[in-house]
Amino acid sequence: MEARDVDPACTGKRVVLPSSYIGGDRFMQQLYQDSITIVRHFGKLSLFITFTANPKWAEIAHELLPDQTAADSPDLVARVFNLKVCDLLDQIRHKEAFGPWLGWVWTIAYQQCGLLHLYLLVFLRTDHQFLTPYNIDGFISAEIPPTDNPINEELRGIIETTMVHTHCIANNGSAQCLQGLDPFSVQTCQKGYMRSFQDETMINQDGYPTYRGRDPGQSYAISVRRGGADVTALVDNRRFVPYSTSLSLRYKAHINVEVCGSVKAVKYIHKYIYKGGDRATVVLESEHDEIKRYLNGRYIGPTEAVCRLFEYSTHGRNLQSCISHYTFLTNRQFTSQKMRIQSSYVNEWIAHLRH
Amino acid sequence: MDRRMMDIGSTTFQMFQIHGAFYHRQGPLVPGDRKDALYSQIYLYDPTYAAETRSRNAQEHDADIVASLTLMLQESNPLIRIYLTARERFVEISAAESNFHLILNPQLGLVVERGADLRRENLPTADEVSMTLPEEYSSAGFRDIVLACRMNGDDRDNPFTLINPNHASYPSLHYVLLFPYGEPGWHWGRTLHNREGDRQNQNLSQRTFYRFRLHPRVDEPSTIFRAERLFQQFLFDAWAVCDQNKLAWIRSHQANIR
Repeated sequence: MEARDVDPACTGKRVVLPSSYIGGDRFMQQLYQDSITIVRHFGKLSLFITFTANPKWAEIAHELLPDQTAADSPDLVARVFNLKVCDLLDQIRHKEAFGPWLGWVWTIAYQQCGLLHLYLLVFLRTDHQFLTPYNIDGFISAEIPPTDNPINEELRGIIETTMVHTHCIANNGSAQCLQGLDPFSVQTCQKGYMRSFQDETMINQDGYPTYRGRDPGQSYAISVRRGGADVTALVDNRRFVPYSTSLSLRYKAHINVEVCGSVKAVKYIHKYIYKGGDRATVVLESEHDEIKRYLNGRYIGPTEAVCRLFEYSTHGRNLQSCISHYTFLTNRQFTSQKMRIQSSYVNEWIAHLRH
Repeated sequence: MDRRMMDIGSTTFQMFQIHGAFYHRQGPLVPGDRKDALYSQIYLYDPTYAAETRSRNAQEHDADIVASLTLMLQESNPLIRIYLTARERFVEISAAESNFHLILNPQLGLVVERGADLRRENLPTADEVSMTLPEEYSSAGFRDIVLACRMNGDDRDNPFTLINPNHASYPSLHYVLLFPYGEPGWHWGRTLHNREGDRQNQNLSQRTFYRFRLHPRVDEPSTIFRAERLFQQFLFDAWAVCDQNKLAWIRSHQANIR
């Protein structure tokens, strides 16, 4: 309901963009309400996972035509990422990679440069939430793995290339995490890197843990690209982003796994993800036409175009378990078309139970 | 859009921005006085002159490559032949009449439209292109391409005609090098195979058609997959056109939705 909705001159002239249209305002509102319902139902979050596409994946490199880079083939990047996301979701839900699964809210975001991100909030059963440092260390690490066996050797290669926070190394201040800071005198960037060494994992007052990052007494040389040239930089355990050993080995990409101490992470997902499609300009007009409002200034990259053409799902939440719960309790009737289908399914099920 | 994309480095994905609807613009067949030929006008000259004009318009391009591409297009692109025929007809008809339009209909037939009475008369065109479209769709005039011979006094402000992206020749006119043989794109008449006889809906949707195009195949040349930045633009274009039609559907079915 907006101010213009009560203008009598506009009565009957309204054009609605329904919530089934992916990316529209109503679609976003629906997602927001759904995820709030899910949080209300399940309570505290367990994990916050960020998964980024890696243009160097063997599946992509193998299929590229001679002399092509991943940027020349956005369809391939989108398709491979979609498969990996399906597999990751399956790992967490059915293979129970982190413990018995209750629910999730996830979304795929498209960066300005066209690479894809998955943001995933996972709810696990209460007895499997990460409440003790011992639990956390079993699944999540923020240290470089030792080189004692071939698997760790491989993992080490992956971690060194994908899980180091390098943005603020040898940077002249253009990095996003250095915005508003003096690049020459700053010790920790906005993301908290470099951290200080930490002998044991600790759980802080706000519920977020500080991960173990011991002082190994030596640094590792990695190369970062600055201004088109490779620069060698020395990093140690203070610069590693928390990761899960099994997921990093399986997907060979940047997968940041963090324990969530509070429901505040849901705010993050709304702030950055359910913000609607990227807009280039904002056109203000007293238009009673939601389609026109949406059309003005869409902003889209080729990978997103491919995802939309192939109709890959861009958002996910298991509302079903909440809805059946609430329908069972209150027998509430839902109004939107999609909900009507779901609730009729639930009603049939209830009728089946009664007989 | 194309010029801007050339300035940016080729290593990353490009972002595209659209305002409102999406069309391909087309200039008149003959350039105005003291003006160089532009866009499709260039096709109508002999290859050497056409290549020269192109190089003049875009001096950063390699003249040899431009010349060989122009020659290739003149030899293989049936649309260029249609445009040549159209220009000849213009010259013939305009000797007798003054008020008429030439129209390229969705079957790629050339049609003369005289004055306001919309009397239509098919002209013979090149034989190489043939498309079958049901009559109901071909009569929908908004998908026609209107060919103008030269800029008239009153057209000077808006010298371009718009080509609807649902026209079957839209991809091959807009991405000339991606579809050098003038391959027809999606149009309303396309249907799916129904060998088993169990398909309820035989119509091929636009989205499905573009998805089909986006799978590389062993038995066909991978032209579009080699186009790099132009391919990115094509992808974006494909989505935008599908989206535009979807939104048009939503707009015209408001009564069902609400």
